[in-house]
Amino acid sequence: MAKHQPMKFAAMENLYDGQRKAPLVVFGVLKNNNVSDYDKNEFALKFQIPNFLSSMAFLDANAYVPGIKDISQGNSEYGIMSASEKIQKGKVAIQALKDYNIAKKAKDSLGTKNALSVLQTNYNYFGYGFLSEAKQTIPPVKLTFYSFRFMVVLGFWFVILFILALIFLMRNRIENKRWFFRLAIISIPLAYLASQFGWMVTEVGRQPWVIQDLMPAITAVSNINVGSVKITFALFAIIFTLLLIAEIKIMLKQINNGPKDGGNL
Amino acid sequence: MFDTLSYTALQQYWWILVSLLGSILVFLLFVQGGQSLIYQLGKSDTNRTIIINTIGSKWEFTFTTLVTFGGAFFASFPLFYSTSFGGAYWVWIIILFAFIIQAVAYEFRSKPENFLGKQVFDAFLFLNGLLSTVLLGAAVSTFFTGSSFIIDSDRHSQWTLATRGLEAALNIQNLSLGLAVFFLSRVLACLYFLKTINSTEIIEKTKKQLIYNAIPFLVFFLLFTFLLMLKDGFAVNPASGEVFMQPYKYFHNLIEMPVVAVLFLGGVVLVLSGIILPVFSFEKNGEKGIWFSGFGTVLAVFSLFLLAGFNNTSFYPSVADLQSSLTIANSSSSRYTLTAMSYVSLIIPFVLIYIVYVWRIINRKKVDISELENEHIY
Repeated sequence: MAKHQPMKFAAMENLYDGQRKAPLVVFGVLKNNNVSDYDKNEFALKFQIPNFLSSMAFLDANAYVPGIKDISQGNSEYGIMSASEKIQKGKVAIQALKDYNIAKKAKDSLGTKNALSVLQTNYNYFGYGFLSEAKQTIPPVKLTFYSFRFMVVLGFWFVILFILALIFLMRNRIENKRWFFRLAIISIPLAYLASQFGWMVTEVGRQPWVIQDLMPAITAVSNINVGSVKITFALFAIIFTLLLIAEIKIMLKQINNGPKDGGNL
Repeated sequence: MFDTLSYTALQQYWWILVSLLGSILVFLLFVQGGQSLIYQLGKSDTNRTIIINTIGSKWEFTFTTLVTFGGAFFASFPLFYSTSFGGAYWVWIIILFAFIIQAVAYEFRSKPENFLGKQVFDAFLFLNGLLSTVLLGAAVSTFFTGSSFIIDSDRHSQWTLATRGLEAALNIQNLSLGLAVFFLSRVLACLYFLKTINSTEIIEKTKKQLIYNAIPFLVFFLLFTFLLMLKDGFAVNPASGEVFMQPYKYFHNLIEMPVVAVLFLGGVVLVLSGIILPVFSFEKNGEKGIWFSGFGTVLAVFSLFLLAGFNNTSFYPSVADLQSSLTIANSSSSRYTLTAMSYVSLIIPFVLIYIVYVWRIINRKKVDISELENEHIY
């Protein structure tokens, strides 16, 4: 991810200014920034492990991890192109594709060749051409940052839970631990939450891209009006809520029935 | 081996695969036909459960074939997928919901404390049987009648009617194919029940329903075929890619592709034989009908897809802007993608063998009342 989606990676860590020996923020609370302030988002509180982010991403504690500001505004020291320059190149690429199609239709072989060469030179920035300003390349940082931490915390919780279960089983004492069963039941919905947080990290963090650098979400979306989307959402919400109630009632009934033959069946 | 094929050959290979999946899907819609017959064939609760148990072990075949059909279409002809699914939005959303409630109905209907009650889940099954067959049939018919969309130079599509695909149901030809598929699915379900259910009461009713549904099926199918042969079709100039209207295009396609004509006529004859055999000699041929009609359905639908896509024809024509019409040449994935996917497609025969194997195990014994006492109940 650090290599192919550096912006997502920086957003996950709320890393605005890139650095060598970048630390990993284990726990952090973000200040409530003004939304228009897209070039910084400071921590109100944080606990971090020095060098760890650089080591994890590039297996080198001294490696440079670019921040959100470096990627959006550019950083000549590390050879990072600014988003506005990429947008310019993207617009050139899009125009070259149009010229190519026109030249091809007119059977103009020189024009086709020239347009193709311009397109190939700028192809890696094609998607940027659909954007208008640099800040559009930054995903919602807060949501990405917190979702990632919630997911990881839950992941560690599940590991602890399973280790506990294993220990109790090996000591043959698990049936006496009512508190443990309660904890296990409470943890069931946490698995769904962890999964949702994971999806939020990956899908919110990748914005604005559907295909990294080549196709932004605004060009991929279907031409459907807001009303239709709202109706569809309501339909999904109603039907799935009804089915969820049915599912839970069926399960509770079976749990109340209990296992047959003292669980031997 | 696929690397040496031309781009055109790859596109044709994938059109054949999509056509094959579509035709197997229509055969498997007998599950939906069975669901729309539960009230007529299963008056008592026990009989209804026997019927639902018979198709309950098969609904996943239809469901996964539908998903595979959609997935193959998406991967091989993505411009069709984005145009149709984003454009004819409400048709596809209704089909989607019809399948959501179906899957759950099978799992929940017989469970205690299922909140909505058995009647509601049975109604879900009936709704799925009605809506999915009519709408899928009507949607396939738009391959011949056209839809209202525009595609711009960036390949962004826009549907021009606010009804978002539902307008297709107002066209007599689309409606006749939709209803033909609906009644065909019921005919196939009857033939399937004759083969698999062991209950005199249900079998007697099924024999009657076979005739009641075969007649409207024939009427609507012949009406559709008649209109198809007479109508102007969406032809493509292979040199320029320009789309134009050609009188009797689909009739010409049949004549110019004799193999397709043979497949189509052979399919129709087999479907009819499958219906006629059990009607006239039930004792001897009652259980064979489903194989004749089922195989015939696959052949007939397969050849309809080939009529829509081959011989320089636009398979997803636009009546709003003729030059926006989609052909297998202008809507396919890149050569690279098609080549890679073609290698993956080599596993299809193994999947089919597995399906046949599982199917035979499930059907080893006829379904009767004893199954409800001893085995899994849907």
